[in-house]
Amino acid sequence: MADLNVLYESIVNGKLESAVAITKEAIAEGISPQVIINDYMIKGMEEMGQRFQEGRAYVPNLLMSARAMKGSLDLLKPLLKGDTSNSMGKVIIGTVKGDLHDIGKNLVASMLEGCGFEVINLGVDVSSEKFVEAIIEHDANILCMSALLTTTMVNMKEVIDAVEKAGLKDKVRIMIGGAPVNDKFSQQIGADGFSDNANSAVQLAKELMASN
Amino acid sequence: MTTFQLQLSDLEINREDIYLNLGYGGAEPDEHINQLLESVIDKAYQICCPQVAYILCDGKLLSQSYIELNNISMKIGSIISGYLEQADQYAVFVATGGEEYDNYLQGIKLSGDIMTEFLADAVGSEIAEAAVRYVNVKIEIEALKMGYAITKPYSPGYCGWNVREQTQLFSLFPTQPCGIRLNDSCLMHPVKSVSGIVGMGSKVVETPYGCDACAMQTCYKRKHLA
Repeated sequence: MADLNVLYESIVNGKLESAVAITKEAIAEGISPQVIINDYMIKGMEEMGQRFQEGRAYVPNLLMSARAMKGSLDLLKPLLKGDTSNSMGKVIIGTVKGDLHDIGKNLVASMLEGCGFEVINLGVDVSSEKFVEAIIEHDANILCMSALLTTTMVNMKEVIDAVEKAGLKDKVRIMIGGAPVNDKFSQQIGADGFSDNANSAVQLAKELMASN
Repeated sequence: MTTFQLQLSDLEINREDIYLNLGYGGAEPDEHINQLLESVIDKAYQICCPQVAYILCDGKLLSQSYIELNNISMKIGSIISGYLEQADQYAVFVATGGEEYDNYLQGIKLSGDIMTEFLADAVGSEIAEAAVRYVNVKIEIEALKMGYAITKPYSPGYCGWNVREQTQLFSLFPTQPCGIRLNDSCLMHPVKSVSGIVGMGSKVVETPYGCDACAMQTCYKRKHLA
């Protein structure tokens, strides 16, 4: 019988192979995907997030966990077809125009995905128009923008203006992140929140979904 | 233009800087992550062909924010202007980890292996920084011959120097120096490339990247120092 506690430990310790093996076993035994995801996988990611917040784990540990989570989720996704009850929300994410830095943004994307969000990653150097088109096309709940440069963070405001102009400001919640941004800047440009690491980004996304 | 085509072994790759890029602060990766990291570094030594180039320019500050180099004007912002105030001459440089490493990074990205991508990105950043340190040593040697000291290097995208100005900086070089090209947003390809300026002069002092002299409260370096 599949020991789902091992799955939990595999997610926490970032062990992709064992996470995948236990997930396969659990699927073969007919255990509900919702139980596997909600009671073990997401809890494992939450534990790792907590360790990160407390300084007991580092970014690569988060990524190892996210990778193990994704490996298991890829097996479970086909079984969830049409079932949206497991989706925490739909997120559009990208690095703003003029900025090629994407690794932090990808980390946030992975963590969000690992914690049950559906993520559409637009990549880097993304124009306001592309952000707006993606929000409409995917009927997104949250827009996440990233910038590493002090000279490109100002482009976040342009995107928010474009979202407002398209009449989407009340439909989508906007989060920003990246080394140069802070809470004050977030408020100045009219974003709904800011986070300075991937773990707090997940927490913020959950809060924004809850307040929707 | 003076160009150097290098091997990675010509550069000093600092593992502590890589750990910092990976978010470790003063800590070190555990054994498993360190093994993965070392395999990325090994790969980099096999494939990476860094290049650096510089040119020496006559120039002058036109105002608090503008500089003219070889008759090309650039808006570098007041912070960098302040640091270059005492310069008698300037060196403009480019440094890159090269196309080969960029292709390696792209391949990892396409594979969806975010862990290796993260490690390879951090290693690539250190390669680019090591290439900048290399070219700065060469620039300093030129400066010493003239009896000059040098400033720290300053790059578009930082300290208020907009990346859009990179077009002007690149116009000082022959087309695609070290194979580096700019896209529509004035960003460099290969991605792990750095451009910048160094001031040279008898009165210049190498001022550390300090926050006291800079009014940019949102600068990420300030945030990390806080």
